[in-house]
Amino acid sequence: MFFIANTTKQSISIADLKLILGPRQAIDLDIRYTREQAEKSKGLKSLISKGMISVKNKTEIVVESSFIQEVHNHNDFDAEKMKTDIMNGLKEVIAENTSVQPKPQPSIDMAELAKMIASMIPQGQTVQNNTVPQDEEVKVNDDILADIHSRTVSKIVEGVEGSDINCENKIIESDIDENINELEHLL
Amino acid sequence: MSKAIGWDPGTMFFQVAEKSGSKIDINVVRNAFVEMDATEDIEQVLSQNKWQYISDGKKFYIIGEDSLKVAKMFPGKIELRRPMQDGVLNKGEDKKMLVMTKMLEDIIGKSTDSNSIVCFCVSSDSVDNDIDNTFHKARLEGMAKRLGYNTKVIDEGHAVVLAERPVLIESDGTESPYSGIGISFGAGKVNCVLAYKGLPIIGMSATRSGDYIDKKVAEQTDTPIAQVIGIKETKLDFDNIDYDDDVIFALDAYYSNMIEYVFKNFSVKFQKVKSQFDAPLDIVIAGGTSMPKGFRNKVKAVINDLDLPFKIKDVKHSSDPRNAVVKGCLTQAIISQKKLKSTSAENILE
Repeated sequence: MFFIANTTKQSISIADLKLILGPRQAIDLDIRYTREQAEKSKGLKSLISKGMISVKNKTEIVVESSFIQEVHNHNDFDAEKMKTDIMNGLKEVIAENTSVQPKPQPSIDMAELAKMIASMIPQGQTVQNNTVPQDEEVKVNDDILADIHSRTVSKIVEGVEGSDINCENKIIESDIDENINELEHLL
Repeated sequence: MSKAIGWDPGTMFFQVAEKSGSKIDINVVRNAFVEMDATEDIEQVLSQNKWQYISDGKKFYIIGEDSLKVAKMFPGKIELRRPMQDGVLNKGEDKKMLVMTKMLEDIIGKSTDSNSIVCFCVSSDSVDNDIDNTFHKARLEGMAKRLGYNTKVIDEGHAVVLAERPVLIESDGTESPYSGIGISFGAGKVNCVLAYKGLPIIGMSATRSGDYIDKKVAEQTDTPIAQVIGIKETKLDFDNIDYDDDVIFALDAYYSNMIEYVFKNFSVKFQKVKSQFDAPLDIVIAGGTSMPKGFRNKVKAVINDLDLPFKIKDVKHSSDPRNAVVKGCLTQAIISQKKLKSTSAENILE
């Protein structure tokens, strides 16, 4: 479980995860992303450091190193490289546009380029108000929360074996039926 | 057949109760474990000794009462670990879920239908630290839901009220049952709830309880904590304090301090609802830390010296202090199950 929550009263986005969190919305990142993707996210790190996102619960995930290697080998997309390439392209275009000599119009679609860059910059970082918001109580539906925990518990005990648990057993006399009848009328 | 189960996931004991005819069937496991390396002959050693254990493939965990035996056999080498601390899941213990989930699954099994329910208790808001119950509560709900049960959560002090039936005498002489203050003196925490006609009105919890007292007495008297616990369980009698015995004297002093602390803090909470409770209140006490002889008289003596914002009708000690909380949880489980069944029936009729 990697359970994060938007602590602000406004929607914030984590561009590199392509994730938008509504006001005070909480989410378990492990459901949508691999742990590696979530931990690599610069947008997420930045928002956490600004206090706009709080990590409510983060469990350790033990991953076999061979599996990690395999994931790396299959991950051909390099977001950092792409971002650098785009930024270099943009610099060239700006340089061309601001030079004294008139130049022919760039063949790059500026609107498209700006859109792509905007999508890569964590939007939370552009918020003007730099004050750290108060950590507010995050409202998460109890049923959803219990379901999340239920799944997590199942993961934790997966493959666990053992002997039967012998309890100290007591059978006691009780007036519980009388109490229940009485309480049913009260509650 | 639908199951209705009361569950008290205590810091010291993990208790589960189920109704069996007119009686109550209670299963108790010590909420502790020790870790052992997976050696070649480990399974043989475990089964020869009939020690209860679980294994995640890498390590073996001996759980329950057996863990205490093993820890005593290898003092200083094997550490007794606890899934709970201060009334909530122990944040410093990474195997807590593994152990408690296995305990619950083994004891209650899987739900047999959609009307089965588990009612468990949690601590009320803490007065002396910022321990938040949200995660603890959700994790325990997750454990029960994973096995297919509906869940109901109540405050621990409320469970004492439901089990012990304190009665308030109204100004017109009528009786209002399940009205009064329920206090559970547990290992990790003391929990108090003021209830009226079965409904919780205010609640609080404090970490100055059994474990706190043991630790403080051990520190102050330079006595091993296990020895302090032993003296507390076998020799402590508040009606006959041996003031020459350092440990007994320290236990008496720290118990006084705990009772005073709890009532002073509860009084602050009570001020908010003071106007609604003119009549003297019954106080019912329960929990493992209330077990030493003379505890009821000790409570009476301490609160007699306090200026409390409420009048006290009587201080009652549960006839079954160790099981009162789980009995209260079971009571609530059965009531909630009846409601669940009637709602299901109404939905079918509609």
